[in-house]
Amino acid sequence: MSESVVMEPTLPVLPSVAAGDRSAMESCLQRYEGLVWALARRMLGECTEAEDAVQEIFIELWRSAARFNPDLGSESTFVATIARRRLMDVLRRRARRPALSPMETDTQEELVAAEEPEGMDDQALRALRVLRSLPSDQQRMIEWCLADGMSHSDISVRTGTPLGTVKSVIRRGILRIREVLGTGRSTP
Amino acid sequence: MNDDVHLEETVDTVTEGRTSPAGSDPKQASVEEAVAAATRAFVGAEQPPAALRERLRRDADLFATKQAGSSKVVSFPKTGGASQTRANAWFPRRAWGWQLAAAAALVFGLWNGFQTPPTIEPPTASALRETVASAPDGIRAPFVPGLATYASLEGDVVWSTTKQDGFLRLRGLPANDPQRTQYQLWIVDPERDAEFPVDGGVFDIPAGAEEALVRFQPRLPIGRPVAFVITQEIPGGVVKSRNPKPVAIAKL
Repeated sequence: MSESVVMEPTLPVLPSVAAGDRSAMESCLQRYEGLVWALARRMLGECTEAEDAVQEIFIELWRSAARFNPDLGSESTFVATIARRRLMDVLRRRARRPALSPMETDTQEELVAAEEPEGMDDQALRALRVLRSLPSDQQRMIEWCLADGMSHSDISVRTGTPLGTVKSVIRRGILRIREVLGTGRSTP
Repeated sequence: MNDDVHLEETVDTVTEGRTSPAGSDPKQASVEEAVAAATRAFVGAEQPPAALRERLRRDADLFATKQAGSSKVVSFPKTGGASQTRANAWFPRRAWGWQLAAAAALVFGLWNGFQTPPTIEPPTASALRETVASAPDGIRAPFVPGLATYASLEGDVVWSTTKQDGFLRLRGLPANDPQRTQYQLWIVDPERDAEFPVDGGVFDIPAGAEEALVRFQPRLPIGRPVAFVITQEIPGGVVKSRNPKPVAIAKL
């Protein structure tokens, strides 16, 4: 199986954004609008609400750009974390549940079948390998949580799995990815 | 053991999006890294709709204009803003003009039997400009075109050192394409450096604007300005202008 790997750009753009560099904002959009939109559409559906959320996310990102610390994590992590947090706030605020039906049967097939994810960065690719190694029901729980914004208790209700088990599955998966990425080595 | 429990709790809160930013916590940061990588693996990337892409770039323009350079600059194009034009025509040119208008609106609302809540408009750009111009140390200087290209330019600058606030009023300045160039303001202050003027920020002139009011509040304190200079620079402006041909100059 061949996989295309696109290394994350070595020069982060956020410090220049923080300095008010106009061209850096364009670079920031070109680099991350696809990710933020994909996540917003996945969590909120293709709607005005998702578009508004993407605008809010980028404004928050530009305002927070000065806080980005490359020693703590990659730039795409900073962007994804802000985006995901903001989108989950929207879900909570509107007490809305994400659309669930299409993912139930397709998830495992998508992860196994997607052999050459175009343009995926190295970290995401390594995470994908870990996820593919998990049983399909565990993959699905993690996907519902991370990509669809479902709470642990919602997943518990939906799958009929005890809440403690849901939490354990998600924890194990994330900590395994953390280990593979090597990001936890320097922490106690 | 406690570390393990803390780590698991961190995974719970990060995956449910209930954390505040990691700040300097490396443990939370490492969990966020794993969560973000897995999220990207699941969702990939998709091209946003064209309308959204346009809106994002407009947001970027606005944000960059506010952030760029070393001052806050807000442009108030007169054309196309009917309320702005009316305000200019109606309000007395005094510092308290907008306050009177607000009071009048309040009285009118009360007299109207509270049927609709009174609307108190924020001060207009013109009114704000007047507060600067009428400050005890308020100064005004007309702009003179620096090049024949800008021969039709008219306008002035008002500035108050105590307020550290100023306005440009410009007519006849050609609209710029913000993707290609932006106008940049420089303040010559011998108390700071006679050779290198202070960056006053960048601004745009929208197409069709008859008159633009541009507010500037330099981040560096200005002590004794002797001239205000406008140049045309690359988007976002420059730290030191290498443009020997200014668009306009206002000498005090």
